[in-house]
Amino acid sequence: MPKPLPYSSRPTTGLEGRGWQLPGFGRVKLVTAGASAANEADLAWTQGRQHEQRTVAWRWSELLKYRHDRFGIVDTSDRLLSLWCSEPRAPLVLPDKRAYRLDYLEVDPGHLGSSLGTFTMLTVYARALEVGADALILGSLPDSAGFYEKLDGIKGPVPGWKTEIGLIPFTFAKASLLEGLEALNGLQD
Amino acid sequence: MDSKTDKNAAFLALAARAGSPGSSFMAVAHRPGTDGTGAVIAATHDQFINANPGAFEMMQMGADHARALQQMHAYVYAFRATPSFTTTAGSTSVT
Repeated sequence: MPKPLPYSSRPTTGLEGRGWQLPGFGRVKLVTAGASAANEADLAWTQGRQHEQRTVAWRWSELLKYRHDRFGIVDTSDRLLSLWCSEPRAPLVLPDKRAYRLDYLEVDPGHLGSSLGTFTMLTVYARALEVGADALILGSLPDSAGFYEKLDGIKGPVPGWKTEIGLIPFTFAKASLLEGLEALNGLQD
Repeated sequence: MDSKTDKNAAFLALAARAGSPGSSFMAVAHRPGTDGTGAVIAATHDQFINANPGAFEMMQMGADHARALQQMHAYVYAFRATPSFTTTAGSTSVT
């Protein structure tokens, strides 16, 4: 079977094109991220990353190519603010839940310290709920674990799923996703 | 407080509680049920291969897949731990 073309898989989502008024950023929207967004992030964000992370080849142009869910948050000038992606087309069926798996997420390093990380996570929550998941799972980099804990992520092993060595597994229960969705909806235009 | 401010309050409270992630990279995950080697390689292989083209060719030619993966894993970790880590084609011997 021939390998699919890059970016040929495209998600269908009711989130695309919706606008939110994000405090500190003005109107923002969610878009399906393609090659141009990936290249923009690779070019614009690399120098802003923390020094120890610059040696890691985290290239969005590679990460997004074959992922089904690939989204960016952009402002009114279409400037890219954050990116995230997930590969599965449907929630993962784990022993005790149907989980949406977040694969990669990065916010523009120039906006660290803002509410952009929280906002971006809420769009992930919304997508998880949209595809029928009753939980969100992810592997956190150690530096970000505290952030996820404060968002009510549950730190610890996820039955049926294994994270990469050195990452910290997190589960977000449906109640947390729904709380986040409500907060997101409050920002809607 | 008008209704819009009231609606924003839920987000602002959540954002204030969460604070900021410690880095711009926030999450990494990979397929369930794997040992993580693939994800490590996927996350680093571009830069690693740019620095070590000979090593990558050796991996591709390896008949013993498990051993090749083990070697690649070792290379990647060495590379991540020491960004200046380099090898020369034909002289690599990490096992």
